[in-house]
Amino acid sequence: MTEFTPASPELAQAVRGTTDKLAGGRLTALAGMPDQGAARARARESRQRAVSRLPESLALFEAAARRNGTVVHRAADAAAAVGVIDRILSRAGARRIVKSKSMATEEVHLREHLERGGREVVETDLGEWIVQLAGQMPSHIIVPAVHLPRQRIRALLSEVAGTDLGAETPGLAAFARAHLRRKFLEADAGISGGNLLIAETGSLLIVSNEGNARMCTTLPRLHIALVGVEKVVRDWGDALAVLAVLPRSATGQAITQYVSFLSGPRRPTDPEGDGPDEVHVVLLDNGRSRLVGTPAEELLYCIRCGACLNVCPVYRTMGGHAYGSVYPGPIGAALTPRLTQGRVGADLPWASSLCGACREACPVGIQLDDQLIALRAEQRKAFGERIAMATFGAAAGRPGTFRAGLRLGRIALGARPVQRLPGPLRGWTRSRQLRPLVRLVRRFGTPAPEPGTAGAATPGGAIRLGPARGGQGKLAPAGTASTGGVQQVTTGDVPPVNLLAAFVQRWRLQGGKAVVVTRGGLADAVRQAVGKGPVSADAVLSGLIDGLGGAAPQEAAVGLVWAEAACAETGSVVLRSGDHTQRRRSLLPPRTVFVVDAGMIHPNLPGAFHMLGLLRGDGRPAAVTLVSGPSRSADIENDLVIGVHGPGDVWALVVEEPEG
Amino acid sequence: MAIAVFVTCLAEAFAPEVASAAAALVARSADADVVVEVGDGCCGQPAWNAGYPTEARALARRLIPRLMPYEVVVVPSGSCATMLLRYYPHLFPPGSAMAAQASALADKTQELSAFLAQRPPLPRDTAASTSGAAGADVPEPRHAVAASEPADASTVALAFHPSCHSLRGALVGDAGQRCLAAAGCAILPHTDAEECCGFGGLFAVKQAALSTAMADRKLDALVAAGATAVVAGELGCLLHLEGRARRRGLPLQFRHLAEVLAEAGRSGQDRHAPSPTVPPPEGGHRPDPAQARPKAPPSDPGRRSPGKGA
Repeated sequence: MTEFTPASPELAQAVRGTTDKLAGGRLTALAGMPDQGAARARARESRQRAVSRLPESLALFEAAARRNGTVVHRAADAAAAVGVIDRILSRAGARRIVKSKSMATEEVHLREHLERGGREVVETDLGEWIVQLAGQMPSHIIVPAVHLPRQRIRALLSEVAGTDLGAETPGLAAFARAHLRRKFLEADAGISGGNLLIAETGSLLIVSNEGNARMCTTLPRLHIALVGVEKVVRDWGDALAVLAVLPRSATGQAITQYVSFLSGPRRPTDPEGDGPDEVHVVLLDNGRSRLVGTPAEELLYCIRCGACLNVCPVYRTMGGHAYGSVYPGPIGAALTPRLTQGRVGADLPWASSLCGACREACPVGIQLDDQLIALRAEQRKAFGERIAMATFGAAAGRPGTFRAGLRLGRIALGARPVQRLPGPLRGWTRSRQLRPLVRLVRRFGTPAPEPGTAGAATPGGAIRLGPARGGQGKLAPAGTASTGGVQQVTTGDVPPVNLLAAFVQRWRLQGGKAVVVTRGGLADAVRQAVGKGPVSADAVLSGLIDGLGGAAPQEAAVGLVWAEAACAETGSVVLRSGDHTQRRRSLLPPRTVFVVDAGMIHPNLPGAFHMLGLLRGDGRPAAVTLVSGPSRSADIENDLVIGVHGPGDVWALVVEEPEG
Repeated sequence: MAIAVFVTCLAEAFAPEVASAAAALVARSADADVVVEVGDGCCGQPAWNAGYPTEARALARRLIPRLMPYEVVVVPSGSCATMLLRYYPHLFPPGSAMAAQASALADKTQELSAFLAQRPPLPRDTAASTSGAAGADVPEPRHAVAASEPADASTVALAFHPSCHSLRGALVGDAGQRCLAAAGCAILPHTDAEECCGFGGLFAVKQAALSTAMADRKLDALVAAGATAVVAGELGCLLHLEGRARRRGLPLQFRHLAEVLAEAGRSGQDRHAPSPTVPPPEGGHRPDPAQARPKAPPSDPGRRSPGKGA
């Protein structure tokens, strides 16, 4: 049995600080939902629906992805995944690769393999890049560099810069932005993971806060996504149900700053260079599909939000690296031995006190403690322990024997607090003493009351699966609460009467600037918002406002973009790729100005998507992007910094028609 | 109504007074004709958690018929209550007679604080007497008038550890705190109160270093809060924290919720403040020799966090 060890006090303190903040944010964000229980049940249902019929879901995804021009590959294991990606890159002659954060690529050690082949692979998530420079593995699913202190990060980045960058977060982040921006623009290929695969349309959903994932999937002409097969959901409605809980559970945000729904390569009508010409999705199995239909299936519902890590007392005590697995925390302790059939992390199920905090936190209702118990039950046990447990079972099952055992124990261990226990129990007394066993063993229990007076239970009473009386905790399968179709997925508490105010409030809360203007005042407001620099503008707005918008996105200081719809609950604008809405325009310039029609603000994302015809049917644009504020990161000591890769200055000009 | 108080194996082995106190509390707060302390070894929870379902099932098969004749089963332990509530119904093949019985048992099982929080204490003349072979040890049921008699907070500073299985297994919420408040006991808040103390059954033995580090975090939080006595509804947590505190020489007392409530009820009657620091007649609450040692042994794996060792 591996004995896991606590982290150093410094590391433990850093981990506690960050996880406290994330866990607190999660609670606040979920409490802001009108019915978080229903939202979580709906998210689980969405995952279960697709995963429980995995072959069918993947076939649907594959067919739909092919229709929109994506090349789909299946990789049975890590070696196959690395091999296929290597071949795609070789065929395209790609040597310089930018990469966004992805647990699947960590799982197959993709970067290391590609680097060994002589390619330059740059992690572009700030935390992940720092970890790459340090030559380490991430120690948290969401905050990869949680274990690295500021001074270490300063040294790492300063070495790349060739000059001391100082210890302040904005300076470090600004260097990363400038350095990595060049990498993005020069890259031959972008590699990403994927948060979800949407079967109905063959689309890929990616969330990000810094904007690096958008860069990786928009700028290079070749995009390769490596995604675990279990990430599939049925349709866009199910994807939105998962999205309702993912950022809230991960970082405490109602939504991440960016959400991309990618459906294949650049369309012929899209501008040159605005999106990849070639898109590959590599579906990674690596032990996953084997779990479908088993009691461990629910482990595949995981959406990698990291909530279970943040609340786990063991994770908080020993840190992420101690798990020795790509996936740390409770989910790692359960998933790693399952995926590897015990070859890796066989003792991880013991890295848990079974306190249940993970189960309580999981947004898709994975019964993580029960999964760990099941793994323990399957473990091969040490001979001594097996004997001891059998003896205990036999003794504790017979009152007379149990009491005799207690007498014997008292004689053996004495009347004083026990300072040294024998055999398998010695771990206890290494750091603790034990209260002495009771002196006078009592005999509890009198004969059961007379039948009739005691209200003997009805034999064969029905098994109830719901919560037992008084709200007590009988085990019930999570996610059984029934919710209706997509239209019932109201995850917002926004009263319909004032969507405009709600949108503006949310948008500002997430770091955006907002101005409400009339139709007549729009041109002036735009001129004021864009300032003096070169502007890259939307065709619609160029036509509306003379003399604006000639610059190319990569040279512009400001991107001026018409947002087709907005969502009040999450404070997001919805962008569809296409001829006039360049994806790069809201990504590359340091400032973006969105123009939003107040009449197109919807209470929630399903409403907005429904209005744009995105929920049902075929024919999605290459990219649907949600923008919910400026680019941001908290990867350096959990210190929030704005404008990491995407624009740091983001405006919404909301056009409201006066009544009458 | 006939009510069983399940005497957990830890109570039977280390602190039978906990079971007696629980029975007394049940008797004076419920409309019970009879309250019986059913002690019968173990419910199987340690075996279940350690991955020995066969052993756990065998223990359940024995215990279920013993508890079934009662209308309500009260369990003075969050983890044993969780075993009965959450896991018993799933130990046996679905549709089997044992599964049905286990499910019926789960329906009438309650963790002690959840049971008490739902029931205001009854006046003395309608409260039931307890019965049981060890009736002489059972405190006599009394009026519980302590609610109107706030404790004298200067004598003892109580902190409450809401154990994980009470919270997240038996789902009792803040029932323990409400019971203490109703008994007139003020509770000192401490940092991350709901975070695991590191007991975790066999985890405490197999992962002693982690378990000890978690205990130290908990103990540091309790000391920082100025607590002098720690109350919990879980004997496992108490034995673990007490054992660690003694090694570190920390002057903390550890009491089961049932004992503190029973004493508060009695002393409320006598118009005295509860005195949770009074040592029980037997057991580890006495000052022990280890306490006098300057510090824990150097081989101690748990010595990680600062401010310990005395």
